[in-house]
Amino acid sequence: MKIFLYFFLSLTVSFFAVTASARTTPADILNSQKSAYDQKVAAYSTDHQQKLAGLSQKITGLNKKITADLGQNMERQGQILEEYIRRNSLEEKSNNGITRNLNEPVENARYWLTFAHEAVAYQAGKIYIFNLTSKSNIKSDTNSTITQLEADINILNSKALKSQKIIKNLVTSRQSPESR
Amino acid sequence: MNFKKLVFIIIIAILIGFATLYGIKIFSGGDRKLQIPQIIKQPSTSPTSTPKPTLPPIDQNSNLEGEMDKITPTDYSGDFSSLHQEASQL
Repeated sequence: MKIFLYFFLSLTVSFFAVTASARTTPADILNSQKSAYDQKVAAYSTDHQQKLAGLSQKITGLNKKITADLGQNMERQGQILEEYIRRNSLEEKSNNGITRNLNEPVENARYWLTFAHEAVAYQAGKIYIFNLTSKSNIKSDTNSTITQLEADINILNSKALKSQKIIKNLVTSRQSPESR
Repeated sequence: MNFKKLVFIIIIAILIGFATLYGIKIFSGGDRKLQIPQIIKQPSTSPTSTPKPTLPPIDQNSNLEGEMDKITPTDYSGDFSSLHQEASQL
C-alpha cells in the first residue's frame, strides 16, 4: 500500500514538473505556424510559391516602414514632453514602476507615451505568416493576413494618437513660454 | 511516511519528470529554435518612397503646440490597397 502511495505521489509530482517545463512559448507558436506553412506551400505551384514569397516580403517591409515612422513620431512626442517638463521646471516623481498616479498630468502623459511606444516596438517585431488552407483559397488566405496587419496598424495608430492628444492637451493647458 | 522520505520521493519524482521531458525532446528531434523564415527576406526600400524630412530639434525656442500639430500620421491606405490587389491576383 505504501509503495503504491509513493508511486502515485511521484507520478503526480513528475506530471507537474513536466507540464511546468513544457509550456508553450511564442517562439513555439511561430515555429508551429512556419512548419504548417512550409508543409502546405510545398504543394503549391512554383509560380504561387514565388508570388507568396514576394507578397510576404512586402508585408514585412510595410510593417517595418510603418513602425519606423510611428517610432519617429513617438520619439518626437517624447522630446516635446521633455522640453515641456524642462520649461516648467517640473519634477517627475519616481515610482516603483508598478503604481502610477494618472491624475497627475505629466505622469499621465508619460504613461500613455510609454504605452504607445512599447506597442510600436512590439508591432515592429511581429512576424506575419500566411495561414494557408487550400490552393483554391489562396486569395482569401493572403488577404486575411494583410487585413490582420491592417487591423494591427489601426490599433497602433489609435494608441499613438491618444498619446499625442494627451501631450498636446498638457502643453496647451499651462501658460508656457512662447517661442521668441 | 516521515518527512525525509517525502522529500526524497519528491526529488526523485522531479528528476523523473525532467528525464521524461528530455527524452521527449530527443525523440521529437530536439529543440526547434525560432529562425527567420526563408519566406521573409530583408525588405528592400520602395523606389517610390520619399525620405521624411529631418525635423529641427526641440529647444527653448520651439512652439511646443505647433510641433505637436506637425506630428501627423502618414496615410498608408494606398500601400494596403496595392497589397490587397496583389493578393487578389494570385
